[in-house]
Amino acid sequence: MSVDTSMPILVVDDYKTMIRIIKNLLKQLGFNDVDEAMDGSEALRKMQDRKYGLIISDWNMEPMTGYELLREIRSNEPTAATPFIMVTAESKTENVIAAKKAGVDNYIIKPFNAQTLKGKIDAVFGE
Amino acid sequence: MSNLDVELINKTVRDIRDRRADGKSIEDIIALAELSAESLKTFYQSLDNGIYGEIRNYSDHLTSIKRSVSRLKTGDNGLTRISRAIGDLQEVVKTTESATDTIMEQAEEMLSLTMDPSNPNAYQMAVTNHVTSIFEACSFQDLTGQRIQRVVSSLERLEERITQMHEVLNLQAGNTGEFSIMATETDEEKRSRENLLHGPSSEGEGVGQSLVDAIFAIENKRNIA
Repeated sequence: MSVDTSMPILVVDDYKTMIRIIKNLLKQLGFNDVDEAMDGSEALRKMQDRKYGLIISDWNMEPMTGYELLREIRSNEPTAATPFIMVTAESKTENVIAAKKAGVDNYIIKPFNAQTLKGKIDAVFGE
Repeated sequence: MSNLDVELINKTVRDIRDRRADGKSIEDIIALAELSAESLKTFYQSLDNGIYGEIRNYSDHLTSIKRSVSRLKTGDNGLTRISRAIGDLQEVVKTTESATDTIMEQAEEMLSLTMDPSNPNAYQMAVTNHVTSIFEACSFQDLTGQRIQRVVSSLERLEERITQMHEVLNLQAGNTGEFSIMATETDEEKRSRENLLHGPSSEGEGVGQSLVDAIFAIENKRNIA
């Protein structure tokens, strides 16, 4: 079974450039239905209007961080099962474990390339 | 006050208390009062000198602090070093963003190029133009490098001044006294500390992607078990 490239993906990052990079990488991997949000609260608003197949989120954002977004998603029944990949520049072991405990499906350290992103998406969908 | 004076005062006081002041004239009592006043004058004079010395020390200390603070404010063309450093960093963010935008735009346009088999030269020319624009945009590194170097130098000077001020103020760990109240964390600061990360790790700090993957593998195994 291959990953459904037509699924809608929500990219959450407070840097427009990073959103653009991730969107381009996703495009290379065949994902063309990509929405964007600049922080956790905007992502939550978008998730009320649309069901996403995957969330790719940065951790460090204001006013709502990626970690807070993850906890919020996992605590709400309609969104609890949405696959979530955290993308962050910081890689302290305790933060990786905290994210894992909060229910993150995978964790990518910036900077990364298309192959790493593909590998993590495949892993999340059991490929 | 000498022992002799104290003895004389005590004896007179005792005589008056015992009602044996027959031989004591009013002149004696006045002389005694003068003696007491004279003795106290010496005492207060020494006290004055002590207080004066203390105030002098405080004054010197304050002058030294003022000198250190004024060094912190030294600036060029009316701008302080700190505000110039902030301006430099804002420029770095702007320049980097603009350069990245240009590079990505050129790359995106290159990706969307289609080659007309009848005119391969036009395709090559278009690619060359885009690549040249990317090279030009990469010159941002030189500008941002210079600005960051200036910020580093300002931060080094600032650190030097703060260290000097610490020495002048004798501020060591646990010696902050009433100033420690200023370190109280606000609710917003607490939320940021608990939820926000501290940005990219320096070389040798943090873990790499392979270690993150290993942590996930261990946690996944633990969850299955």
